[in-house]
Amino acid sequence: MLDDTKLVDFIKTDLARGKFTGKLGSADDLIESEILDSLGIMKLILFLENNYAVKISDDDLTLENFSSIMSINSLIEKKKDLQEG
Amino acid sequence: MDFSLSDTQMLQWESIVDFSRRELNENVRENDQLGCFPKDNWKKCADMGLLSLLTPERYGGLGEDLASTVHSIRALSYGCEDSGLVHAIVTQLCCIVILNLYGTEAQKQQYLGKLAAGELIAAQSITEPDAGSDVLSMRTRVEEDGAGFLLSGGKVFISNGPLADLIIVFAKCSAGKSSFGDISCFLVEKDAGGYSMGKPLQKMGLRTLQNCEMFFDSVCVPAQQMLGKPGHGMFIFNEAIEWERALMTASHLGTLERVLEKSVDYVKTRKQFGQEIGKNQSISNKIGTMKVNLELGKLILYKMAWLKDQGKRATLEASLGKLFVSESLKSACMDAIQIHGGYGYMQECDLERDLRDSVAATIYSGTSEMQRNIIARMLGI
Repeated sequence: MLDDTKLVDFIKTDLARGKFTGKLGSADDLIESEILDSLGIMKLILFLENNYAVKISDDDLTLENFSSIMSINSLIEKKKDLQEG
Repeated sequence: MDFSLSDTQMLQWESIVDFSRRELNENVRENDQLGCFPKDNWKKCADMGLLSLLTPERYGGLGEDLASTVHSIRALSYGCEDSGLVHAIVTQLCCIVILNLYGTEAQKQQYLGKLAAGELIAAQSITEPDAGSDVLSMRTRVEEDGAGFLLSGGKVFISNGPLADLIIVFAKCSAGKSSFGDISCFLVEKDAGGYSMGKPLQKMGLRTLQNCEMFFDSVCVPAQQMLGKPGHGMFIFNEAIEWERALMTASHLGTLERVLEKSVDYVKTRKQFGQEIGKNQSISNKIGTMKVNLELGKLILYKMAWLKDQGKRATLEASLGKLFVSESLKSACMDAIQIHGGYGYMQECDLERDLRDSVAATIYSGTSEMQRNIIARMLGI
C-alpha cells in the first residue's frame, strides 16, 4: 500500500490552493470539486513521475485514473507493479 | 552535457538559410501589404522537406527529433523574412505532431503523407470568442449521433484556417463550464456539410498568415474521425501546446538572430560625429541585450526540445521559453528600429514589419501574462 501523505499534502497545497479547506477523503472527487483543472493535471503528473519513479503514458491519461486519491494510488501501484514485473 | 551541433545539423542550417534567402524573400513586403499567402513558397518549403521534419519516415517524412527540428525552424526564420509563412509552416508541423501522437493508424495513413508533402494544409481549431487560454470555457459542442457525432459552435483567429483542408477541432460534450474530461478532439475536412468560415481576418502583423473564424452548424463527424480517446481533448491540448511553444520559440529566435545581425551591420557602418554609432554605449548596450537574450533563448529552447525528445513533460520550460523569447524578440525589434533611426521607421527597412509580427508572438499560444501565470502555478503559487 502506497504511503499517500506526500500526495495528499501536494493536492491540498499545490493543487487545491485554498479551494478545499476541509478533510480530503481518499474517495473525494478531485474534478467535481474543481481541485484538479487543466494545468493542475499536468502538475500532478509531473509530481507523480518525479516522486514515485513511474512513467505516466498517454494510455493512463483518463479521468478515472485521476478522479480521487484512491484512483491515483491505484494507478501508481499498477504502474509500479508493471515496472517491477 | 554536450552543446555541440552535429555535422548534419550544421549542414542543415546552412542549406536552409541559403534556400530561404534565395527562394523565399521576394515580394515579402508586397505580400504583407496585400495580406497575401505565398502559396508558391509554401510549395517550395514542402519540396525542401520543411513540412515533413516531424513526420515519421514510414509516412513519407524525415522523422527528425524535436531538437533537430527546432534547429531547422530557427534556420528558416533566420533566413526567411516572411514570418507569416514561417508561422503557417509551424502550424502545419503542430498539426502533424498531434496527428502522429494521437491518430489511429488509418488516420495517419490517410493524412500524414499529404500534410508532409504540403498537398493538404491543416489548422488547429481551439480558440473561441470567450475561450482563449481558458479552454474549458469553450462552447463548441459535440453530441453523439448514431455512428458519429454532431459538432456545433464557432471558433476565431484560426491560423491557416482559410486555406485548411483538414481541421483539428476541439469540442466539449457538456453544457456550461466543462471539467477537463469533457473535451474531445475531431478531424474535420473542409468539405464537411455544415462547415463554413468567415473572410480572412485583417491583422496588424503576420499578414501573410491567413486567419479566419470557423462555423460548425451540426457538422456530421464520423466516429473514426475522433482524434484520441473520448474526453482526451485536454490531454491532447496540453501536449500539443508544449510542442507548439517549442516550435514557435524556435521561429522567434531565428528572427531575433536576423534582427541582431542587421543591427550589428548597421552600427558598424553608420557614422555620426566622425565615428561608428556602435561606439556609443547607448547603442551598443541595446546590441548587447539582444545577444544575451538570443543566447539564453537558445539554451531554454534546446532544453525544451531535449525534454520532449526524452518523452518528458516540459510545461514549465515551454512557458519560460515562449515568454522569454517572444518578449525578447519584441524588445529587439523596437531597439533595432531605434538604432536604425529614421531609416528603421521606413517600410523599406523591413524592421517595422518584424516589429508588427513580433507583437503577435507575445499574444498567440498563450499571452505573456498567461505564461507568467503558468510559471507561478508550476512553482506552487
